[in-house]
Amino acid sequence: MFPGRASIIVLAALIQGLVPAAPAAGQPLQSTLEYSVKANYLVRFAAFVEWPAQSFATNRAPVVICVVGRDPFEGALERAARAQTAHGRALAVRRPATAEAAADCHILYVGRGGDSLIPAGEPAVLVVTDAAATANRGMIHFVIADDRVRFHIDLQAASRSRLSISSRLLNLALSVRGG
Amino acid sequence: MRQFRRGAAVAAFLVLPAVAQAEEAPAGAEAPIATARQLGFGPGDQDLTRLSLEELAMVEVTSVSRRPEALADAAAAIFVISNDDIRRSGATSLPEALRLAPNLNVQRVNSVDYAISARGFNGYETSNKLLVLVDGRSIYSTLHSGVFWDARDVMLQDVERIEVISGPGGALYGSNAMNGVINIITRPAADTRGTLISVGAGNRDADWALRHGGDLGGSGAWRIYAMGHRRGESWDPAGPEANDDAEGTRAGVRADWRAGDGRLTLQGDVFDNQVTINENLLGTEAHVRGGNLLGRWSAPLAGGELQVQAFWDRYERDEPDTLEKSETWDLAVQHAMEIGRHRIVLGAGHREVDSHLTAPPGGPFLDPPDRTLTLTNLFAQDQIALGGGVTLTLGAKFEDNSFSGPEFLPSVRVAWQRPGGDLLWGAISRASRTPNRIERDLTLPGFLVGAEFRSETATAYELGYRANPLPRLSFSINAFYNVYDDLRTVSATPVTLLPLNLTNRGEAETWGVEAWGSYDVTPAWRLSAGLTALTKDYDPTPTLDDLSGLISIGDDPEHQLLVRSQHDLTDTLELDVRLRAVDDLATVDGYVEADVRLGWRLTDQLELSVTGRNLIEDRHVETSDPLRGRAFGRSIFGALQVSF
Repeated sequence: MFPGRASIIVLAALIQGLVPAAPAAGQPLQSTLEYSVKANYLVRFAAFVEWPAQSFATNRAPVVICVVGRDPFEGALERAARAQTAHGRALAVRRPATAEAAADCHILYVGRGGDSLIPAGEPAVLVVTDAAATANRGMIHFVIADDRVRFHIDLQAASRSRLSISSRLLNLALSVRGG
Repeated sequence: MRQFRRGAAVAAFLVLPAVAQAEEAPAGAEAPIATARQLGFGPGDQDLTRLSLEELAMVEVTSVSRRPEALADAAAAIFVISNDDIRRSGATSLPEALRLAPNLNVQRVNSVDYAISARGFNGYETSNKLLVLVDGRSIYSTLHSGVFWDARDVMLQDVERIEVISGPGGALYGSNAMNGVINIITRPAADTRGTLISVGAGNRDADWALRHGGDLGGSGAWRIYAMGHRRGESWDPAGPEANDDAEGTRAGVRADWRAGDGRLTLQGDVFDNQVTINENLLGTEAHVRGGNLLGRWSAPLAGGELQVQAFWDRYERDEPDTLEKSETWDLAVQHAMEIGRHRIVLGAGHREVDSHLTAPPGGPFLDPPDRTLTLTNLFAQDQIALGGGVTLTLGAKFEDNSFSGPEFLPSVRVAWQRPGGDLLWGAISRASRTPNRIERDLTLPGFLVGAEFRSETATAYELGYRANPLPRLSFSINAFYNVYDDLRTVSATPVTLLPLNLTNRGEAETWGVEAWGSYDVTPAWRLSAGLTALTKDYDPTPTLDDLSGLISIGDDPEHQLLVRSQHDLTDTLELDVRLRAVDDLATVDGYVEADVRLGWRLTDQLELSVTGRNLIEDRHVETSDPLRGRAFGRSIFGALQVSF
């Protein structure tokens, strides 16, 4: 057995369908999987969070998932969002360059260095932070616990932004702060 | 007769109720380190976009050596009780929390004793086909192969999840996993940093728990906890209070480290519980005490992962004239690896149990009083991804026990993960339950002699289907057909009738269906339901081959229905309602009961709750055990929990 080879086989089985080509040599495989999981979480969150009706311009407006700061997903977010729906709406992925533009997102993932692009004034945006990128906690904060991607939820902050979070999501959280 | 309701007294009832009446004083009377993850089937060509939220949370992301597997992919009837489910149930003891699993039948016997089983055979003395693990440590007793639930508890606030598998556990689990496995997994110390204080009291019970945890250098974490309980009296079915109140304390520590590529866990607990026996007289204090230590080390090896686990467990039941002790040493090693399409797990384990029973004079006793039991196993499992979402798992276990020798237990499982994300699976497994001390060594001169009792065996056929057809709806349906052989019987000696022997002349077939599902009516309101149906086909006629009429088959409800509503009324108020409807037993009427909990999160650190239990009937009885069975009525319990 070749340890290195076996490892790649393991991961190849997993990420098939997510990554069109085999991962390039030297690419950090673990983090690819880690961020694929996080990307899929961001997409799933859309169905388990409810926004105020006025957050959507029209009945057909998509749920907008945004990334600010460094984008760690390498396309995984687009692949995860493709052909998915939430609340009967399509999903769209954007990368706003200003905090004003970020206020139009529904879900905002804050990558490294993106803290300054979190919109002020508590608009109805689900702010998702990542322990890998920042210590500041948003409404949902990704952490790695027991080798798995898990998260903490700040229900207080979500309520202030008039978001309601499904009990199914709360059940999965490592901790739920306030309400 | 009622005075001997516990451990040692198991002996009397086992033999024969009819004979017990004739006797004036009939008294005196496995688990390698596998987890459900390993039992399960690899997701094969898994596409993360098809995973549900819960499944995403199970994907291992940092361990490159193993193929991440989600419980949802396991080719077995698995129900998972989450930490939040336990919290919202208002349960304050482990057996009460197990009521959340639709694939278990939980019969509360008295204030602290329970009979818990899957797929039949339930009863305080007959529920002996379940393997129960706490963080990989087996807790069933080698005295009677059941679990003494009055001695086994955990701090529920720190439980990560409880995996309940109905059906044989497969090659990776021990031989007692004949009808099911309960795998209790506590949180890693890293997830329990900080302080938690919980106190609660009601008209029957009182509980408290303290826990504190922190970091251990840069690469580890620790916690320490202490907890205590007081259980109020139950009711004699005839009316008066049963005088069976109990109390106890438990404390423990856990530390987890990461050293290089390896991970090390050390944990241990001690407990001292006081229970009441002879309760229909004045009531005599008895104690159940014990402790355990467990170490587990895992590290990458040869493209896979090696895990080594050792534990020591001591248990002692001290009653007037009776002392039951057991001391268990267990070592288990397993190696999981990937070779192409194969995921292979190889393992071996060895256990020694020093068992002792001092029986009261004049009654049955164990001959010899002291015995060392050994249990050795070797197992192999190959999980093969056949493509098209189909996974084949072949397992085999070779087990040798000091009572009845070697056994070979093979199993075959097939899972088909369909393109829509639903899973269809089937399994055929051979399972066995090894003899226990009572079955081999129980002696009453002239009346009962220790016999050549062998293992009970079963062949189990299972089919299951689970799906998530709508984002808010998920369900699971499992059907089983089990053929049992060599079940425990009580045989007469030809011509002279006496002495009696415990023999393996029982046969039975059981079949049934388990179904459960949940639906999120709104993001704040989840409804769940679970239903089991069970049929047992056996011959209950007493014969000279079996004077007991196969009493070892247990007494189970044919149907059981659980309904649960988890509703977040506001951001801070949660209302949980649980209903359970349990069918008739042989001599006990069925019942319908409701538990209601109202929880209020005042701040993110402080939570208050009020739980009403058994709110429907004035009194109900859950077991048909004529000696031990007690009745339960309405109770109320308020609790306060602070964490910071």
